[in-house]
Amino acid sequence: MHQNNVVAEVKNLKVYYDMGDRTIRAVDGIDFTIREGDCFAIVGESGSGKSTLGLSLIRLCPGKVSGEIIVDGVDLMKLSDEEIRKFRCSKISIIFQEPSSALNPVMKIGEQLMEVFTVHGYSKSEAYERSVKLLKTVGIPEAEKRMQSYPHQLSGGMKQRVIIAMAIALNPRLVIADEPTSALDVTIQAQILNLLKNLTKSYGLSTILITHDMGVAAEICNRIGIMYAGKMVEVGELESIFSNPMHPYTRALMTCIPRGLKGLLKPLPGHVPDLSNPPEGCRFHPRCPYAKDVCKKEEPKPLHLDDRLVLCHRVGEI
Amino acid sequence: MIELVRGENLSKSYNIKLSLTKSIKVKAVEDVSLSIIKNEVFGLVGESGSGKSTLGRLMLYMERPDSGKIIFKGLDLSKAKGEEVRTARRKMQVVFQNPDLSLDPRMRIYDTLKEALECCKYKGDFKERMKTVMEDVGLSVDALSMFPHQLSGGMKQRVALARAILAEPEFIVLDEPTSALDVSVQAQILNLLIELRKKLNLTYLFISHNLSVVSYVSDRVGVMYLGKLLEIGECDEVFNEPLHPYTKLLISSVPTLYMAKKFFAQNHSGVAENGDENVSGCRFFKRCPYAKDICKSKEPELKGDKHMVACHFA
Repeated sequence: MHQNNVVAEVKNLKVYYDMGDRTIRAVDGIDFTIREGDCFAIVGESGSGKSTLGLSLIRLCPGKVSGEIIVDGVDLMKLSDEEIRKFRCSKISIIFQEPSSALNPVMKIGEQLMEVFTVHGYSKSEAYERSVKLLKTVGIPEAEKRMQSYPHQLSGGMKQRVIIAMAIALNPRLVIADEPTSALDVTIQAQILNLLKNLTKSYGLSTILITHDMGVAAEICNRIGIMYAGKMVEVGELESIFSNPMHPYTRALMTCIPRGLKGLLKPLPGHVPDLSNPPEGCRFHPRCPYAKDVCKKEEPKPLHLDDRLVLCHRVGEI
Repeated sequence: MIELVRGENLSKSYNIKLSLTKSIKVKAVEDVSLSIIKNEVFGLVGESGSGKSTLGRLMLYMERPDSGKIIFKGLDLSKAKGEEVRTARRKMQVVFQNPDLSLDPRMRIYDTLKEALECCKYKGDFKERMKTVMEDVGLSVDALSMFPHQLSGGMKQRVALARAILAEPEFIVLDEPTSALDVSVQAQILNLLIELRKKLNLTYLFISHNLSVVSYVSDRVGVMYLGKLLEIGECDEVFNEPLHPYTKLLISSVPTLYMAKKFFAQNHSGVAENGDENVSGCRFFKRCPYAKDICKSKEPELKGDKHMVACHFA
């Protein structure tokens, strides 16, 4: 595996939603890179802009997107609609949270899978063969029979496997998985996470995993980015972030999770701010126990420490 | 140890129509006995479809069991008269998962609480009572004049909780009370629940699919699978030394931050399938890595003294 080959690079990505009287700045200036074989987790609470980020990466986001998204050397922002359509699936693809709404309920699984191939220029018979093979790869028993099934005849875990099959059908470089297991039970979640992990290895995929669950991120990712109110507040290697979280928000998130210890949890006061009118200065300052005057006035600049990126005025002091 | 609520041999099944002529019977809860002690938090875990919500509703007598009985403070609710049942049920309350669905969007919080007070025939001053309760759940009195959509998810769940404690209940069923919330808000609500229980001497039946949440709040815990309780015991014991293979599977499936897993992934395949009429043996048989012939033919009983388990080989 070439650890240093960059698969995707995101520079100063901004996504604004125009609501008429106000503008919601869902993603506000985000940079990160994905290297080959990376599994990069984007973790944040609801309303932090993580799903918007995922959608904008594949140019499916209805908001106003600016910045650069370079995947495999191509800037997606400069592609025409026709070009991006070809690019999707073949280079970059997405897995959504709710498999039952991502699949067409009145089309057989097989037809939906084959469509991925036929749209990209494969013949029908080849599409069929490849689809059956794919279903086997993602661990669906009796693949030929399942090709004839409708989505409602499959369980949630099986449906998510079909979605994963579609996502990897054309052997893309980058797969974005937006909360792929949130709708599933824990035992099924473990199966799907295992599958994703194995596929990442055997297909040489790079993955972006969007999740609200730190545990899920810990299970399969090697790098992690913490999002808060449209900003990426901390990015780094999984182990180093978990053993030494630098941003107060990362710390707070980790102390919020019950892990069988008795004694009270330390909840984070307040909630995620309104993104049409985010707080001045550091966006986390109203909830931050370490906030000082500078945090209220100035927005913190990204600070690079070894392989880590932190957005906080008080790194090192706290 | 005083027993507060007891369910004896509870069964409940639902008919599910597949088409005009075809229907199947789903046994949501089958022959489950459960006793909840005063002042404890009893956690109920299981995957979706395991019947944990149905069991919660049965314990409240919201849902009438097909067979079996509910005994609340010595009173058999299935034999009691209507008025007796209503009086007893004022002492039993419930908080649901999604406050958006459990609160009326067109009623101000004041009206929602007032309705609850009227229903429980509260004799004292309504406004005083509301004020105390709002303080208890950590909301300001100003919120009384608001509509649910003006409140955040966490605040709405606090209102749902306020409504539940208005009638000074003794027993509250919390059905996935934090599943719809973010982790930071979840922690606030969990701490609030723990505080309230101490302050108001409450007993909880805490239903959740989230094992870490359950282990955080519960004293005892029960594990459900396809309508049966497979394991009951002290929370620490069940999570640290699980006896049933299914409990082990569940615990090993939980993604953890700390990568120190006690029970390594065993057999992660298979799904829970309900509605199979011909199950004569253990329900977990198909997915169990240790299954033997006896598991297929004979259903294991829930055995044991304090730490009970339904497995032939535990």
